[in-house]
Amino acid sequence: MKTQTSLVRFEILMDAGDGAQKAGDILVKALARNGRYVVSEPIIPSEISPPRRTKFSMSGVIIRIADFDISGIGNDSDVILASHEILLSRRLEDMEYHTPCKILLDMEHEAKNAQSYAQVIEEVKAKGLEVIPFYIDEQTKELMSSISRDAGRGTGNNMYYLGILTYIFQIDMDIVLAVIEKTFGKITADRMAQNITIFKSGYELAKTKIGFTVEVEARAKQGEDKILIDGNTAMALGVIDAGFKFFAGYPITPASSIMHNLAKNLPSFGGRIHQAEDEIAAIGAAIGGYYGGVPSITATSGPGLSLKQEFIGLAVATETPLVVIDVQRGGPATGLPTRTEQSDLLAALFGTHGDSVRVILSVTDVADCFYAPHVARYLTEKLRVPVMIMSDGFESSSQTVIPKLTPYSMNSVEDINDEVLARFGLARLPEYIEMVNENQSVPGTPEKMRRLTGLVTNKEGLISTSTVTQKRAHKIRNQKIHTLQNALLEPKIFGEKEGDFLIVSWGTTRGAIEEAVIKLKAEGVSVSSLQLKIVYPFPAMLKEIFSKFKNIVTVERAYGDEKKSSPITMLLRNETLVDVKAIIAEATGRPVTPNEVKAKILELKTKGGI
Amino acid sequence: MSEENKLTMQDLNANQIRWCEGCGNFSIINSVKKLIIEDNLDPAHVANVSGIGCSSRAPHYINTYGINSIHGRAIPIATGLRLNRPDLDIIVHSGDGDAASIGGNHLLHGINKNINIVFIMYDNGLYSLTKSQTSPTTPRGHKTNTTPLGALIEPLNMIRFALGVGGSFVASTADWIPGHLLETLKKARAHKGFSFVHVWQRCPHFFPDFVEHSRLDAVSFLTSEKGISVPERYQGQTTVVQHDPKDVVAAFKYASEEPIYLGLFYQDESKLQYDELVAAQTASAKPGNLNEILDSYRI
Ligand SMILES: Cc1ncc(C[n+]2csc(CCOP(=O)(O)OP(=O)(O)O)c2C)c(N)n1
Ligand code: SF4
Ligand SMILES: [Mg+2]
Repeated sequence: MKTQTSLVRFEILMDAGDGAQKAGDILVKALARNGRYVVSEPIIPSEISPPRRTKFSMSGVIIRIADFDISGIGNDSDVILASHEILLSRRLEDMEYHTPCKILLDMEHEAKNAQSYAQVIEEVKAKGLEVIPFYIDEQTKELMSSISRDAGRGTGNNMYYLGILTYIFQIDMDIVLAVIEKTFGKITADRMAQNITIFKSGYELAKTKIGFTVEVEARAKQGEDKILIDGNTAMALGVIDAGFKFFAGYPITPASSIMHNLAKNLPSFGGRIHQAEDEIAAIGAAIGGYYGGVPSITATSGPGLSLKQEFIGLAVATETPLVVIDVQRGGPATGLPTRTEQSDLLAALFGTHGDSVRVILSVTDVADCFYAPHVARYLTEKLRVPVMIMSDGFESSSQTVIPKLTPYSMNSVEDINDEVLARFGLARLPEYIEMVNENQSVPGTPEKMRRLTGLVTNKEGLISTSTVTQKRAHKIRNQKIHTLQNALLEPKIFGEKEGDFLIVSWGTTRGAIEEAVIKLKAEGVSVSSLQLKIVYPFPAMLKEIFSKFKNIVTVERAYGDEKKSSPITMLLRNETLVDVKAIIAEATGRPVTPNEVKAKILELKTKGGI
Repeated sequence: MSEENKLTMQDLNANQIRWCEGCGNFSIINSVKKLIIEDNLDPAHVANVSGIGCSSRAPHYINTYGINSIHGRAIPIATGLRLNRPDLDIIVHSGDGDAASIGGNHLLHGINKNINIVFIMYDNGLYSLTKSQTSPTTPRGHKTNTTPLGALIEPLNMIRFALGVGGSFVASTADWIPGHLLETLKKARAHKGFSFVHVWQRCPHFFPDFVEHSRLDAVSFLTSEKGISVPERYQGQTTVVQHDPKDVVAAFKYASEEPIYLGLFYQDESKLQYDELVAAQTASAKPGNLNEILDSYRI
């Protein structure tokens, strides 16, 4: 049976350590070389080596294939391949499947767990999903166990599953083989041959016993001239390209891999890496670095953002440039370390005591991750205001195939590329921007010695407790933000510039929202969307734009309800005095999906707007 | 520098000083200024970094570069500055509360990483800027606003702390013995690594009898050829012990004895410096090419 579609999502579930993600990588690369648009997201267990055949060991990968350009991971899976029944049962709890959904279940463990298998299969059928059990033949099993005995890990099943999925999604076999060879480049020829045998047995099984295919037309450019990259990697490389020469951090999920990447690469570009004793020390060191005249940056998540707040205030007061990357995760407290959320907006913007000014940048896709550090550096050095780059758990590890990024080695902020500024909705700032503490210079500059302080100072940087000085300091700091606001370009609207609904959001929800807009428009709904990349300050023309729509609604992976506005809703209402309403203000740990957005808009429409 | 444009104490004056009369901090910053002059430092290449406290105001009063930052966090800033600016002389000024309480973790790691800075701990036995509260070094029984019945526990011994966490330069001195203080600072500056200089500091306003300073025999001295000399005034008047600054066991012993010992307790010139190691790693890295790195992500 053959299904032709423009969009499909599937997942592979295996015990942690069995190589599901490796298989996923190969599939994603092969699909992309084969001309499909692809996004993938790993499923990562919270523990390092959880016991096998338990709910905690669920590891895997979600892959979404389309015949048009996508950046989100979408809704629900159409095909799930699980290596045993416990993982399947666990994953179904997340309710991320379509009905119907085809479930390929490896029966290898059934003999010893007949009852458990029977129970789960019953459950699955009750949900209206189709179970397709399969058995790996004895000969292949023997081959797999000999490999895993030698390698001391894994089961080898991942290659078999790769074969199954290659057939189902009709990926060119030669391309998959080429990617396998590239991926396992270092193994012996014998071992390679064994892996390929396993792969081909999986393919044969799918062809002869499973029998269905799901085909997505190859509409993207074929070939290898694209990269498969996740958000944190793109961000780390962007940090290098933006000319940061000092990174200070403290390990925390999901920000850590930025530091891992920089630890490997930054020294090769003359930069230094510092693993500090905690997040407070990390941001303090970044301030010390910038104070010394060296572009410096720190990255963190969740609890780390809380710890950094006092120092962010010091950077505000001393007008020391500073960039903080916040890869948001579920909160409060330890919350959901490995899952995604957008609940840090207010903490990022207002999180320190006193009136504190900051610029909030957000990333809406993996390419933004690469360019955000450039813009952040430009803004922080020009305005001498801390700049926060907001990413999130989803973006950090989700892998997308994109055209190769073009680095341009930014040396000084004047090198900033206008297109990059425009990507974030920004024009160049004026040459002169008034500072609280005018004419600061870097240690080592003769005749310009000055002491910085968190106390209130006058123009010369001298402490003063007079009301005039304090008023002036507040005013000038805030004027810097207004200056930035004046340099914001008219925001791009996805869709018509007027209509019934305008969906406003920020950060990584863009992909899901734009897909929903496309679908809704196809159904005749008058809807557009606006995704903020510079989340604060807002563009001045927002109110004007809002006036052209009947309903302004927000989508955000943060909490809100009838009595409590979600963060972006609160800020937009305050800014525009428009009755902005949240249609999605829920923090679930999982990314926003197009169907969620679509359903909410349709619901509003039937209710006749708000 | 030629004689006529040699730096003077006046040149190093900055803002109007706002400490109480008789405060030991005056003497400490005078010694810092003398250090700058006598060691021929370029003030533009000196950064005084501090946290918050009476003592942490020091950078405002010395005409060099500097930051008076947030409570307890001078070391992180100094670390970031040092990692990026090996050319500067970095002096950290920190009170007992700043260094040992809120900033204790940074002190531990600054010492352990052996970051090349001069760290001056102004120990007046309590929090003074916030008007008399107990600090980790407040003597047991001393009454403050937070311990009106007297501090509950024995004070933290900062010399033993610094020795215990691997200090490569551990010295103690007193604000009322300026010659000893200056010599200590000079040795501290000459030392490559984290130089922990503990200074007994008088706070006539809140704790005039914290340490006995009027009697010469209220302090004893550790000295040696490599150590810090005993001021003439004290010679023959109080206990003086020849102490080998390589002998860490003896250092612990003297750190635990009364009357308090001043001098160089310990020095290890061979301890590796984190900042140098980071610099070396960066210097030895193969030059990178971002285009090539991006190519490695090709599908
Ligand atoms: C985070 C924070 N907590 C508390 C304070 C209030 N505070 C200012 S100075 C100080 C104690 C200073 O004592 P110490 O470090 O011994 O310096 P001294 O004033 O004695 O020189 C405290 C608690 C502060 N500024 N910041
Ligand atoms: S309160 Fe004490 S430490 Fe503070 S300035 Fe006065 S005497 Fe010095
Ligand atoms: Mg004190």
